[in-house]
This record gives sequence, C-alpha cells and structure tokens, in this order.
Amino acid sequence: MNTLEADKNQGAESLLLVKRAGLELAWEMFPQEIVAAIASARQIAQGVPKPAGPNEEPWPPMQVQGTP
Amino acid sequence: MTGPATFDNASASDAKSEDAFSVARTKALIEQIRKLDRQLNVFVHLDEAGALESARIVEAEIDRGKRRGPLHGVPVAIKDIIDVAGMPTTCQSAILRDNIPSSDAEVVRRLRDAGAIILGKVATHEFAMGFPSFDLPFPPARNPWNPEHHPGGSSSGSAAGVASGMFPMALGTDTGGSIRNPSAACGIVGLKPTYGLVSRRGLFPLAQSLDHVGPMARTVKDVAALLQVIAGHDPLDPGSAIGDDQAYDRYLGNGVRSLRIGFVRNFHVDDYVCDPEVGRALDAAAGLFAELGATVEPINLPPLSDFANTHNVILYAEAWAVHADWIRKFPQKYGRSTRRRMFTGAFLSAGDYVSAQHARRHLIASVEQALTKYDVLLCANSLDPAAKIDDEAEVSRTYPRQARTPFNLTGHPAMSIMSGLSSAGLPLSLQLVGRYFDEARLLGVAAAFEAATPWHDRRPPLHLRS
Repeated sequence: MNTLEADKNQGAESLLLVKRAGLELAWEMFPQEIVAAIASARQIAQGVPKPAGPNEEPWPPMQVQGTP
Repeated sequence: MTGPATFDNASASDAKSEDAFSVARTKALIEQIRKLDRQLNVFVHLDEAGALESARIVEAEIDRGKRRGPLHGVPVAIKDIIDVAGMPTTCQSAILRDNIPSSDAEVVRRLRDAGAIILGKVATHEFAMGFPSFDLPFPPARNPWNPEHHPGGSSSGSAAGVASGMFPMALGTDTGGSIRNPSAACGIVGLKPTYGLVSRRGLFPLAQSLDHVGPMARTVKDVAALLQVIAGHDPLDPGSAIGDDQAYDRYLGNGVRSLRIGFVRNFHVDDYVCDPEVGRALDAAAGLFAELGATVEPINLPPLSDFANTHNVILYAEAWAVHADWIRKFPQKYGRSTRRRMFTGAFLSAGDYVSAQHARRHLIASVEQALTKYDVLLCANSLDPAAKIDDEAEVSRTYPRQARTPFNLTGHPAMSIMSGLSSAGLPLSLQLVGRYFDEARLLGVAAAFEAATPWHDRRPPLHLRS
C-alpha cells in the first residue's frame, strides 16, 4: 500500500469513528484535533497493563451484600 | 491581629472570637482583594454582599457570646465547579456562564453551618481539566510567587488566593491531582482525602470515580480544621463512605518517632528524571524524617506510566460520558485544551474502559501492599517548578510530569506540602500518602515536617501584607 492509499484508509477509518461518536460537526470544525484525539486514545489504551487472565475482575469489586 | 490580611502569622483555626472577620474587616479585605486580583485573576465571582451579610451574622453571634467553632468568622473561597446558592457555577466555561444554582453543595452547607464567610468563587481550568487557557471567558489565575508563571491547576484560584493571603482556606477538587498541583506550585498545603470521605454532591463532575473534594490552606492545622468541617457521610452522594467521625487534628504535634515511612523512589528517579532541585528537596525531606525519629526506607511502586495510562483512560471515558451531548452540539464553545481531551474520550471503547478498571484493581493492590508495611509514603509531587504560563510548550511538557494521579486511581489520601524554594524563587513540594481514612496520621506527619522546616512562613512577593 502506498502512502496515498494509507492516508485514504486512515481517513476512512477516522470518519467511521467520528460517525460512531456522533462528532460530525466537530470533524468539520476541528479535523486535526479529532485526528490527534484518535491517536491519543489508541496510545493511552495500549499503555494500560493487561489483566493476567480471563477470570480477573475489574474494580470495583462486585458486591453481593453490604450495598446500601 | 492588625489589618485585613487573613491570619498572616498563624493558623486561622487558632483564631479567637475577637479575630473573626467583622463587617469592617471583611469590607477592608474585599477592597484589598480587588486591588491584588488585578494581577492574579483569582476570583471569578467575589460576593461582596453575601460576605458582608455573613460577617454581620458572625458579628451578632459573637456579640451574644456564641462561638460555632474554629471556622466561625473565617473567610473561605470555593472553586468554581462547586455550587454555592445564588452565585454562578461557571466551571470557567462559556457553556455555563449563566448557570446559577439554587442550592449549596453539601460541603458549602457544612461550611455555612460552621460559620465560615463564603467570599466567592475562584478560578479553575475549564471543567477542572486541561491547562491554563487564554481562550475562556475568564483569564487564568496567576502565581503569586511570580505572576509570569502558572499557579498549577485545576484548583488554581484556590491556591493562588491562599498563597497571596486573600483568604486563609479554600475548597478545591482533585480528579488527577488538581488540589495537589496548585498547592505545590503556590507553596501551600493541600489534601486530597480518601475517596468517599467528603461529599461530592453539588460538584460539577469531571470523572465520578476519580473526583474528590478537599481542603487547601497555608498550614497543616488549617487543613485539618477545614477537613473536620467538610468530612462525613452524605446519604445523597452515592460514593459517600459510611464511617465514624474522628478528630483529624489528634496527631498534630505528635511527631513521627517510631513511624515507618516508605520513600517511593522510582517515580522521580527511574520513571521520570525530576528537576535536580526537586530531587534534592525530596532527599532532604527523607533525611529530615529519619532525623525526627521515623524509619525511612526506599521502595518502588509500579511505573508511573501504568498509573497514568490507566487513569487517563478512566478519566477521559467518564468525562466524555458527562460532556458527549454538549460537545456533539457545540464543540466550539469549549476551550481548545479541554476540547482536545474531551475528544479523546470519544474514541475509547467500552473494552478499553473495563481493561483500565482491571488494571486499577492491581494498582490499588500494589499501593495497599506498601501501606501494610509503612504508615505513610513519601514521594514526588510535581517534578518541576511551575513553568511560565504563556510558554505553551513548556506547560505541556511539565504538566504531565507528576506523581499525583496514582492516588486518584487508588483513592488513598494524599497531600502536598512545600519542601523548598527553587533558585528562581518558585515553590518546591513533596507528597505524603496515607492509608484509607487515616487522614489524621497523614496530617500528623505533615505537621511534623512543617514544624521542622521554615517553608510555611515564607510569603510570595504578591501578598496582601507585602
């Protein structure tokens, strides 16, 4: 894939994400900020330590009693 | 006591009835604040009429011999994301410029009951997020140690106002360090309490599972006194903890002898390389605690990047949930710095959020494990002195260089205290972290440091008494 095609694909992917988020107006007004935000979201999500296995539970613990 | 400056040489909570702010003193204070605030931009709304009315009530009560407690007649300022009935809660944003709540936040109600004089609403970053910005309806607060530098944030007005003597105490909020960052930059004391200890009802949310309301003041004793008033269960805040009342000043003056302090080194040595003056001040503090009789041992926690990425995913996702409707309809009404962060939340998935909550559980366990061995942790706070406020690149570089977000994620109480002055005359700071609901011990350790160092007596060049 050449650079032009890669840019096109990236643009199409960005547009898909923008539509899913309902940010079409923001995309028109601030396209560079949106592109940066997509990259930033990807980067911080990738930096989160991964759970050790599928049985791990998230925080907060799922309470079965003591909840008001 | 002379003049209107706010308890310049003592803790406000030590004040006697005759020191309470009378109508005349409050009037004089407001006049002085107006003059100084031309340089510092602390106030979004200075409530002269309300403050004078409160002072009238205080005066009448004291004339009748009534004393409500240590905050009776003490001026307090409120960060402008916390509701005060009849005053604007703008969150420093064009979107909420005309938002005037009809009721007090629970913390404000408690302050009024304690007889505090609510002076007004003070500056924040927009919606308590991002950086100091110049594209908002109000100018950003400035640092009284040098107004060319930022005062930290997002509780920027609270810290700048306390440091400059406009008021002795203020309320701030802390979702990613927003009490401790400005406390560090302005050289005051700020406490992020245990998650759930202080009600968040009436606070405009940033990220509910990370949001904390807490006290900011010039002395540890005043922070304890303010915490005493605002802490406690609120049945109308779903995140509020149920627990017994306690005296938060009970260890003040007890020193640190026989306490065990874990000195977290990886944050400022391995994960980031801190400014050398910050590092020297931290080492000096560790040495001082040892001299005072504590056992101080170096420890490591997981890398800051693990905490920061996990924190950011949760913060941005939760903030997006709060703001999605508005930002879809009118993104241009947000300041650039806030808007860019809000957009990030839009592109995180549900899976990203749950994964971050998995990681959070592990990170909490790592801090809990350290606190089974140690009574308190000592660690870095800001890794650099405050940058120049209009140097966007330097502000962007230095703002994330901090060790505060770990304790928003874990919910442990954490506080900022001044640890020195840089060669440029800007405050340096350290952070102390305690066990859940063990604020009294944490404050005791901070008070021992304060008593053994000269920093809390230093005043910035821009001060009501200068």
